[in-house]
Amino acid sequence: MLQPIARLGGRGLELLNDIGRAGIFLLRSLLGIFMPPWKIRPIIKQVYVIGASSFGVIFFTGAFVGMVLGLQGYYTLRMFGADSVLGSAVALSLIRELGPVLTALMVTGRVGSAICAEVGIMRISEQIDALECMAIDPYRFLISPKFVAGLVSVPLLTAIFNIVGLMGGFLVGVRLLGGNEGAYIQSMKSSVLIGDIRMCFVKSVCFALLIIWICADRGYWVHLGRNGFGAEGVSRATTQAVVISSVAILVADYVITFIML
Amino acid sequence: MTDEYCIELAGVEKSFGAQRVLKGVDLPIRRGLTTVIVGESGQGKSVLLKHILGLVRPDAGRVLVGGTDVARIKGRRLKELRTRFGVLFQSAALFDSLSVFENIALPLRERTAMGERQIHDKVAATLGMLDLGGSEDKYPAQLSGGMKKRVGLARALQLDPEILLFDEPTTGLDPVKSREVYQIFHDTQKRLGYTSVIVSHDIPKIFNLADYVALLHDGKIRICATSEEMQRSEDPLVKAFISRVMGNIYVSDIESRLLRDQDDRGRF
Repeated sequence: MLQPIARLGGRGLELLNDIGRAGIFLLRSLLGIFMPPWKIRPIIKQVYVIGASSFGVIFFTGAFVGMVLGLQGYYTLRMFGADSVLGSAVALSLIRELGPVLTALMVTGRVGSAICAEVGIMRISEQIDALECMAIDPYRFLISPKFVAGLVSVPLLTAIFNIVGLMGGFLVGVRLLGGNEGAYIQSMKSSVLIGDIRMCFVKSVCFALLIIWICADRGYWVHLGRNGFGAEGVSRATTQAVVISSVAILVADYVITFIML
Repeated sequence: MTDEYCIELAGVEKSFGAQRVLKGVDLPIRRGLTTVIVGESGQGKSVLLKHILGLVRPDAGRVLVGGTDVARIKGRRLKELRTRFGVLFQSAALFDSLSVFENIALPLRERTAMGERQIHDKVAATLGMLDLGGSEDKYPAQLSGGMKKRVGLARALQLDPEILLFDEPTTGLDPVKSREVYQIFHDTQKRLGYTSVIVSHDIPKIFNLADYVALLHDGKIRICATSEEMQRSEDPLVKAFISRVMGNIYVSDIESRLLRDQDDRGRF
């Protein structure tokens, strides 16, 4: 009879343990950014991996999201005779919500999974142990550059997403469906405030932190065997990392919007 | 701890969950010599190496390296202590996204203030010494098992360690390649004078290389002696082990028959 309670308690303790370990992981990785020797090359490499190589996917996602917003927005607003505010609707939806959230979700799928798998494989093939034995801090060497690159790349990718999305909305709403060009630009200009841009930036920075943190942490501790061992453990940890990151992004989105709106 | 020993394990105990792996290991390791740890699979030989490196902490006992208890230090002091070690992992643990040159240069780039030219010269010298010339630009996935071990050894030697730890250095190699690896150990140790601790299954070949052999059995060191003393030991358990792994070369037929009888009764 006591067994289910004991199991529940065990799970609870395990969860607490995981959270504590992840907290220390984040702290040590962030501290690692400031520890010498500072090397710019690993950071540039990671900016390339996380940022530059995600450009294509962000460009296309941004373009089509903007285009579909233009399409949906135009017909919906026209029903109320409010198609002149199409620019405002597209811009605010993109900048406040869709830009940061969809960019973060795309980066999670494209880069987060790769980070988790890379770190996980390094762990199971003893490469992380080898670093420790060489007295090289694995947090500073492996994880910190990913954090810096994520914090640099994700806000930039979000900005690209927004700009391409706005252009996509313009293309469909104005050029294709014949909306008023001046009204589109004017309503966009008048409704988007600096607070919206600030919110977009804060969100993208927080999401970047969450993606790298969760994905790298899942890979780093893969040897503890919660998800099984070896290649199977890495594959499960990767799936788990993507799922947890995606949910965390949406939860954080709500919390940040609630605080900043 | 005298100057003669550079590592000393005293009463080291370790459990993983309900499984007691080490039950009070006492093992002195002499400076400048080769100590080989042998034993059946799953006796905790690799765990013992991880204790020496401070990767695993004992539940009880002390692991003294140069007079410092590895189990009681952490952070910067542990890091400093680890700079005295070179480690060759069972899988060589090379960084698979780095080339052979970058792998070997990594400890120098990260741990020293050496310039690129000096690093290049030092790595080139090691590559030459280990007969790896021409492989600098290859990646670990393109190397054979023996070459991977040599690259691992080259990387372990970069910071001029006092102590080298080898975890199953010849696993997965054919007899010719493993002889080659032993030859390289022998040559580099002669030249560089490091203390080496080897965990191995490769008996009897490893006996030729060992100054001391320690037998880990049932979570304790049963014997730590020279290869010759070990082969002549009167301890029935040691005898049984020797006869099992070396055949009947060193024990008479009668003795071996006796030991087989003991074996059947499950004494070893």
